[in-house]
Amino acid sequence: MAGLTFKNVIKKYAQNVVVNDFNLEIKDKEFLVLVGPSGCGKTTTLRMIAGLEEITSGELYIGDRLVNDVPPKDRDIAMVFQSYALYPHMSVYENMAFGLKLRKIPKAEIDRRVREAAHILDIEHLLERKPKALSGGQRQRVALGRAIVREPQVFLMDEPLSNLDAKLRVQMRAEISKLRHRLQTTVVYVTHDQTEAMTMGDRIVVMKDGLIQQVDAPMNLYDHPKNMFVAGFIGSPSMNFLKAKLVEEDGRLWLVNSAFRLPPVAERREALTPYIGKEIIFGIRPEAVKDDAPFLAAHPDWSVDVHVDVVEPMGSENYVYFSLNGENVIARLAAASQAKVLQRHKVAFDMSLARYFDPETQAVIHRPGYEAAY
Amino acid sequence: MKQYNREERNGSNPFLHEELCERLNQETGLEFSARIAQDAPGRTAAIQGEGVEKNALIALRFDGEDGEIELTCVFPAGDVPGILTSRLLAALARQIYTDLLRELKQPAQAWTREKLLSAAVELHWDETVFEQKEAEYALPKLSLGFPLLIRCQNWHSEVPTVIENLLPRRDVLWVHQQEVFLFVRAEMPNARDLKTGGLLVWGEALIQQIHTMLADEVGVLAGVCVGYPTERGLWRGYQEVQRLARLHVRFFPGEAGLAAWKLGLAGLLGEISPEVMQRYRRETLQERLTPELRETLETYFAHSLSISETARALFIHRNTLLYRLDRVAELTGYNPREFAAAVQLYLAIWSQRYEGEY
Ligand SMILES: Nc1ncnc2c1ncn2[C@@H]1O[C@H](COP(=O)(O)OP(=O)(O)O)[C@@H](O)[C@H]1O
Ligand SMILES: [Mg+2]
Repeated sequence: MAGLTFKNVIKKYAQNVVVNDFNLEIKDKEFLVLVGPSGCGKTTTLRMIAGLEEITSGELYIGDRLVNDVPPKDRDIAMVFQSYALYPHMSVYENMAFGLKLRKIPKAEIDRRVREAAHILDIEHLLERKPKALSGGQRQRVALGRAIVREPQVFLMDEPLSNLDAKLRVQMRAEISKLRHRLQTTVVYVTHDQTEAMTMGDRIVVMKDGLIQQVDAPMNLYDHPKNMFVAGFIGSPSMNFLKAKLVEEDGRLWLVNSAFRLPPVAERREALTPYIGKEIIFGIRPEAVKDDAPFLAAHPDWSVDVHVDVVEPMGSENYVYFSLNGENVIARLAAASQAKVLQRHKVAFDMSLARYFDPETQAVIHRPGYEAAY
Repeated sequence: MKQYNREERNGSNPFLHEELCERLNQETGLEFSARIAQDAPGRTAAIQGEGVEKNALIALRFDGEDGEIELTCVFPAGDVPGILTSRLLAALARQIYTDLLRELKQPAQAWTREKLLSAAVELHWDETVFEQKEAEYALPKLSLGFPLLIRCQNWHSEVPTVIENLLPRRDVLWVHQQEVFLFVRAEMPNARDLKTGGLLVWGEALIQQIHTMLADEVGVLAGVCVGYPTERGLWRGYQEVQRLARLHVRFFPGEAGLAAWKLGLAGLLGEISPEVMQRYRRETLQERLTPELRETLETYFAHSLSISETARALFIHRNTLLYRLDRVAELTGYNPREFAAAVQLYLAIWSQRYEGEY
């Protein structure tokens, strides 16, 4: 068992920088998730940990051992990928044992490990079966078993669930979370799916174009995003962004554009003062847009008249689409909402949940109540 | 290698002699020719001065299967290579001759497709020769399957073991340097697979499976290329996956591999030399796009030229986007909002992205 440390790690292919100045400490037994859009460098990062890719510059430690030049087989790492390949002519037992045989582990020790892993994964009754006779979920478990029997210091998982259908994915998500508590080991888990990241990670690293955007606990990413990229990437549907000018009138601040005039809450005043007279980006999550009568009555200042473009009933709620000042906005409204397609409707933005961003740097302005994860 | 027929093994075999000379010449850099000696036997190998003018003649004689063989070579006298004594040359020739005989005498069954591939690569056979040999050695018929090439960036002695066990249903498994070439028998797709794309989906899944297994089991990073399924044309299949491997490195280096049916534009643009592509890019983009404009264009193309979706994805106002697109038109002379111009820009941007130019 060991943690991992990245110090100024850079990976280039020719002149192309795909992982840029990666600095990160992963704690022993932590479940760390790397998340970001396709091509942002997640797999490359995992491969560097595994030793499958050389590190262009910087240092990588497993525990306190510098591993830049340690070959993959000596790194004490196991990997689980999205495709769960198994040896078709071998039984489940042999499938799990094979990697250990290649490593010349004694037979008795192999037997102990295979039976233990089978017990943890609840597949003891399948040990004599061939892969053909297994369901998708069972195969996935055998693939996990193959990694577990290594008893590695670190597990690396590269989008292990992305090939499964939606139902099985949710089930395996819970399964892996449970498993990691039983195994008590460090896991680095890669996904492009923010829901998976949010539900599984102790901490999440949000990446874009090879750069770490934010490393934080899941709820911090949601409540206190560091910039527009994180704000837009975490949460579904995405946060709405609206441009507005910040003005001061009658001693109060107002966000003004062609579609609305909204007052930021008083606690924001100080942080927003430097932006008076300038454009600013106002971010509001779809769940912070409301239309229930008591809320509208309590906050007449926060309301806006909109023209509804689309209503998508989701069962427990409706996604309601409209545009303001030329930009699309999504609201998650209760199923009881009276919003109708192509009709006018009154909604209110919960200004206590509004976020503000600098249009130049795209960085968040002011994060009251934010506490770093660790 | 010259072409021998099995019948010639018994009678006098001119091909055998020709091959003998060719190999000896390769070893020595001299130019021998061979014949069956008709005159009195018993003359030993010697370097003699009986040549034309000042030229020397090397004559090597030894017993062959069908009579005494004489190899002769004429060269300028002054150039006699010091270390190549006639005895040494004769010994060398005898050794090559014995090896050749052994090679020829092996029963036809000993020829496998793997050996055929080795010979073909080593001796630069073309498709015709390869197919001739295949027919000649009466190798068993191939089943319907995928030609598949695994290119390993690093190596581990257990790579073949892992592959053998992962893909037990195969007609060919040939290891050559850090490459493994396979002909993997296709699983007959059942009705459900057919609905989801059947055979090709199955073939494509091999890429991830092999890539994953090698990385996980022995720490080897491999690119896996899969060709179209076929029942014949082993050589063509081999050539196809070699070509795919080159395109994989050039256009999709970050991926685990490449399937022939996933080439898309790369299949087309791969035929164009990098120099020509570069010139095209230079002419189209005028080297003037800032990173911001390039990202804008890429996002615009990725969102099917939709202004509102692109603006949203970039977190910018639609007017800002329109301004930027105008700017691209100004700088390059191609207006991305017009279809034909957009195609030009798209190709330039595409090749730039895939040829790692930034
Ligand atoms: N071997 C390679 N050669 C060149 N470029 C590569 C190679 N591997 C990955 N890349 C590039 O690096 C970037 C990051 O890739 P990757 O780590 O696979 O992203 P992700 O897993 O986040 O989708 C991509 O632009 C990819 O094309
Ligand atoms: Mg990836």
